[in-house]
Formats: sequence, structure tokens, C-alpha cells
Amino acid sequence: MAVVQGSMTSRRGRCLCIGPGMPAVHPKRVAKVEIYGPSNSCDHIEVIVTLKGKGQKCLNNKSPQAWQMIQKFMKKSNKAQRK
Amino acid sequence: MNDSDYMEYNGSNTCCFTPPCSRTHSFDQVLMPIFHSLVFMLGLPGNCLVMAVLLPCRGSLTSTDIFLLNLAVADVLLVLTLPFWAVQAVHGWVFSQGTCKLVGSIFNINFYASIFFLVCIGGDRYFSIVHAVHVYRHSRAHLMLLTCAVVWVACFLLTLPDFYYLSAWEDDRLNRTVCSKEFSIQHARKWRGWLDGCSQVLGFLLPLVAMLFCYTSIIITLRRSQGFHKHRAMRLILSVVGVFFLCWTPYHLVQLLETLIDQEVLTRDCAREEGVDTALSVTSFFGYLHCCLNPLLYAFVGVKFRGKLLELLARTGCISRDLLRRKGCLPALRRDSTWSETTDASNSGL
Repeated sequence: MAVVQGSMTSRRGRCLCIGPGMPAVHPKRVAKVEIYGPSNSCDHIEVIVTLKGKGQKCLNNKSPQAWQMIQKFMKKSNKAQRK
Repeated sequence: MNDSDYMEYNGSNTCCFTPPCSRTHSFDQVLMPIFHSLVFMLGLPGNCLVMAVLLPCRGSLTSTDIFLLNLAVADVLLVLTLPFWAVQAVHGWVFSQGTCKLVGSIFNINFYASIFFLVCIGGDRYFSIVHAVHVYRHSRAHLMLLTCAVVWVACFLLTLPDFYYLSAWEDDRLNRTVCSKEFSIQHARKWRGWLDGCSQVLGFLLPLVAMLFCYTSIIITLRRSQGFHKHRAMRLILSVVGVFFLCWTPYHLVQLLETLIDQEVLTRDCAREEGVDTALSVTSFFGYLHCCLNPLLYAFVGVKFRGKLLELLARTGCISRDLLRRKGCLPALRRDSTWSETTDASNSGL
């Protein structure tokens, strides 16, 4: 209500990426991969890669490269959960 | 940008090179605690004083006084939740899930109550001045009770959706835990849009229209009359409506912008979103500030209220009774009971 998220009491989160994102990046240039799952802030998964010396870029989450990264991330977090 | 950054790119648009929006909220972390403490320190004493003055003479209160008392209760409860939001702005929601539901709901109930009682005061003045009908005569005390009960129940019902959806959840995009409404992910945007819209209409637009109607009618009536406090009354009405408008309109306009962005009516733009977020923080401060101004605008401007305040101070020994008598405050107090309710209405706030 006025007092909803993004509101009087709490700042609203939003999708971090604008537009579809890059179709692919050169794997050798990737320094770090961040994956954000769907949440109330954003209804789809987002893949953000930090490129060596080039800052952050959004990766198109439908691209094969992003898909691979997501799979890898899921496996890792599943393992972490099992532990 | 050079070729080595990407492998397949058709080069026809620049969509893909936009870096993600930053997630810093340094502005909130610094300013929100200051804003909240300021409102807390201004709002709590003023509204508590209104309660302290009005509560001891519950039996002899006029209708405006009773609404003022309820308004002060709503404002005090609202202000009491501010420290929680200040902590959230700095550290995220560090309290429990239950605290989030409770504090969030208290905030919402009193947010509505504060505005609805302002409308009640406007309506009461409208009936007594424009139609010379005293809806809440002493013989109809139950009607007064009923009105207040209806307002509180309405505020409670309007807050039920919030109570249900409020939750402390980890927002990994903001990189912190927030206490806000959490919906199922597919429907989040739709629900948010609906609830935002409802709250803007019920918590701002309708009350504003009602107040504009009541006070405009009062001004028209006053202009025709030959009242002795006419100009003072008009000034007060303009300040009451003006301050309400100035405090709440900026916030609701920014909130509307934010809803348009959220519903994807406006195209996304990191800089614009950051601007809107900052504007939302700043304008919400003016909304909160209205809670602090209510005692000044409605209670302390009243001749009767000031008399009661002096009496309270005399009773608690803060000032001597002699001083009151010398200033002629005590006889004025005794005269109160014989005043007509129209003069009451014009003295207790107008």
C-alpha cells in the first residue's frame, strides 16, 4: 500500500539487466559469474559476468553459454545444499 | 568495446552493451536514519503531548478533540515503527519474520488511520459549519464511538493483505534482507501493481478529494458569513489543506512513476531508476513529517486546546495557577462549556 515495497519503508529491488544482454562473451575474458534467480525483484534469471578489465556485462539468459553457466551454478548450489 | 569481448554479435543495436544497474544504496544508508530520527524526535513528543492533554478530560471532549486524540494515537504508533525502518535502511531487516509482519502492519494501519482521521475532522467541520448540523452531539456519543470504530476496522481490513504478504526475505539483487511484501514470483508484478494502485487511491486520492471538498465548502460558507475570526479561520484551513497537499503529493507522484517503471509502461533506465529511488526516499520523509505537523496544525492552534494544555501544566506544577489567572486563561476555560459547538469547531482548530 503506499507502504508497499519500493515504498515508504523498503526500497524495491529490480532486474539488474536492461535489454536482452550479450549473446556470448569470450570464455577467457570472464573473471567472475554472478547468477541471480527469479525473485520478487525480478521475474527471470539473470547472468552477470565480470570481464577482465572491462567491467560487468549482462549475458542473454537464453544463450547456450548462459545456460551452461546456470547448469554449473545449479549443480554447485545443489551440492552445497546436500552438505 | 572490441571483438574479443563477444563472439556472436550482429552489431545492429546497442542493447547488449549496457552494463547492469548498480546496486549501491549509500544515499539511503546515510540519509534515512537521519530522516527517521528527526521525525521520531519531532513527532513523538508533540503527539504524546496531545494525548496527555486530551486523555484526562475524555468525558468532556468535543468531536474534533476525539478525532484529534485518535489521530495522535495513530501518529504515535506510526512514529514508533520508524526506528525499525532506519535500521533496515542501514543493515537490512535484522529482526525476525514475526517482527516484520507486526511492525509492517502497525505502520500500515496507522498510515491509513492518520489520513482517515484527518478526513473525519474535515467532514465534522464541514457538517457543523456548512450545514450547521452537529453530527456528534453529546447525546449521540455512540455515533462518535461508531465512527472511530469504523475507521480503525477499515484500516485494519486494508492492512490484512499486507499482513498476509509481508515477509522478511533475502533479496539477492539488493544484496540484503528486506521486510516487504513477497508474492509468488509469476504474479508479483500484477499484485504489486494492484496493491500500489489501491493504496494510492484509498490512502491519498480519495482523502485529498474529500478534504478539498469539505474545506472548499467551508471557505465558501465563511466568505458569506460575518464571523469575527473569519480571516484566521481561512488562514488555518489553507494551511491544513496546503500542508497535507505539500507533504503527500510529491511522494505519491514519485510512487506513481515508480509503479509505471515497475509495470514496464516506462522504458527502463538505470539512471532514471536510481533517481526515482532517491526521490522516493526524500519524498517519503515529507510524508512522515506530516505526522509531526498534525499536532501543530490541528491541536496547538486551537484556543481551547492551548487552554487545556496550560491547565495540564499548572496541574503538574510546571507553571503556577496565578500566572494562568493573570493571563485570563482560567475564566476562558470555564466559559468553554457554554460555547456552542460551532464556535467549538472554529476554535478547536479552525
